[in-house]
Amino acid sequence: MTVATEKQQQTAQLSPVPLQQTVEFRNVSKFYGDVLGVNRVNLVIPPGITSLVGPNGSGKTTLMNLVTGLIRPTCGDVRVLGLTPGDPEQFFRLVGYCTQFDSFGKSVTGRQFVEYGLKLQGYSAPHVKALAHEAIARVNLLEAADRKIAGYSKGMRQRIRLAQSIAHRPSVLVLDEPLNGLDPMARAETLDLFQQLGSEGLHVIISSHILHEVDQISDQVILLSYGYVVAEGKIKGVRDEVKEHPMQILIRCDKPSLLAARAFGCEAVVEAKLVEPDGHRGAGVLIRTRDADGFFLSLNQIVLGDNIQLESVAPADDDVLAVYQYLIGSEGGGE
Amino acid sequence: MSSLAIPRPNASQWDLWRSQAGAILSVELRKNFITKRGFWIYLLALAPAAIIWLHSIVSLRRPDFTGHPFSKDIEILAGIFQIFFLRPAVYFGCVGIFTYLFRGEVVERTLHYYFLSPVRREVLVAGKYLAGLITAAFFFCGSIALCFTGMYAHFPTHEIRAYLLDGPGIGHLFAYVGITFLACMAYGALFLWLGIRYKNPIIPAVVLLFWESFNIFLPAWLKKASILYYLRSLTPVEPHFYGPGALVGGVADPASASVAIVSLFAITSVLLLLASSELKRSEISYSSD
Repeated sequence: MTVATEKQQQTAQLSPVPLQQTVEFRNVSKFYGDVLGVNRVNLVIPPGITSLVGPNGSGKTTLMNLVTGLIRPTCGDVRVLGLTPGDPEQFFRLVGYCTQFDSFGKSVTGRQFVEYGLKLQGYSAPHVKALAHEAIARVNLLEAADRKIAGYSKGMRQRIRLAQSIAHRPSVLVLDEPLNGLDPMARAETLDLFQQLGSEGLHVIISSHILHEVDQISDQVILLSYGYVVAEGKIKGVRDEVKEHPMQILIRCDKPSLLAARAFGCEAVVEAKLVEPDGHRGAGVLIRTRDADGFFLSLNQIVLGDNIQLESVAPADDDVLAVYQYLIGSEGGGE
Repeated sequence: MSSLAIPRPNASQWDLWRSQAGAILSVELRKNFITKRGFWIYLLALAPAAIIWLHSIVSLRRPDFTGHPFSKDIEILAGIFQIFFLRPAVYFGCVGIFTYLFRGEVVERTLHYYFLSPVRREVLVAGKYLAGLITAAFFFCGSIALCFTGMYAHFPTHEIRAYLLDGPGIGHLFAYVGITFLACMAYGALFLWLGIRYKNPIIPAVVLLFWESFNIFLPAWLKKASILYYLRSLTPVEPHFYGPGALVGGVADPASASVAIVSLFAITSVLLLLASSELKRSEISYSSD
């Protein structure tokens, strides 16, 4: 828990991005009657791709609904690029939200659905057509655009909702489980689209339980548990802050037994375990250490002293899933 | 984000509100004007017209038929209008049309699309209310016009002409259609608000019907806290009620036409403001609905 508090304070104080260009939570709590949604959340989310990670009921959707004004905080303040949902005409020109609600108007086609959102934005008819076409093309759904949504597959419905949320070219895009229902091909295309949007300077806030995919594209992560932010920042940085949990390093080399024996002599090493060869990769040693920097210094000496040929040295748990398991003790899932 | 150079809309506030209300109106009319769900409303609106026209057609086919005199049918239509048309028909028709405008969005889990668009909640209320009003007015104003024409269709032409052209007939027709429109306007605003305020608006609707029907036993100033009081103050013909009908028919100390119309507009405005205010406080929580 200390990870979050210190990190949040650092982020709030030291964020290099002006607050007018961030999504900001100031001491935000949300209770549904007696039930806690989120509690005392302080966050400053800069542009780029930010992932919300946490198990069911951890508060991911609550945070997203707070950002977009679908619910109001019980206390505290949420600002998006300096605006609040109380001024919808400015706010929702800058914000797009692809929710999890899989519902649409009756007898509406995909194109009509996207166009209707744009009409409410106040665009003229030709611009509505052009923007809708552009958004539908970006989610690769042009062929089905003039069919009724009622006949769409789950993945197509997911993509048409995504198209509607990006059609007006928002600066902040909030996506609740956007990869749900997508086949591997569509998932890869969608992740590419998110990366493209993130590189264009948008805030892309994603919740997902497909951790390894989100991990690949995220600039920063926010880990949630039981309504609290337990850690946030760049995944490497968050991992480094989890001092109380040993870090795992997988070293593949030509003399794994010797390396394991030598590694036991290092003060920083908690455990050394031999690893079988894996496909083209040779055997190795899985090291668990509380002081990665200290171990790497010792490793240099061992390698030079015993003439060990290294094949690879890589963190074995420097991803969202591992940090998540350390902090939350769960593999989590969608909210 | 794109190669297309499309500027953000930069219309004036009023132009934006008008275009947004227009977009909402067109979609809501498409969604709600004719639906399977609304079958009972159309039946409620058109049943009296169908019965009256059936009566006229039967009368026309039987030359020996000696029905009521013209003046009696004028009074019968006034009775039907007050006892059946204003209360159960327009009242429950408006319950069905207007409460569903927002409650239906919650049931179908589509309200968030509006809440996530750059539309002020007041504009959303206005757009949806107009769609409901057009629907209700089309069916109920159309129905009372059909009732009016059907009521006198079996009379000889010279009697009809005398009533319409030399008598108060045209005035009566406009009055009935106008009162029906005002009823849709005021009850529509009431049930739009109740549809936002309550998860089950039927219960308050029934309580209010009871109030509207039986507040004659209350002091004079409380009688005026009723939409029906002002609507009935405008009726062009005051029918004579007998027996139990006298309890719910007739209006003592009616308001003047101008006071009644202004009051109905004022009530509608207050109710729409309440609806907007309620909607502004609303959050999306489909699971609890």
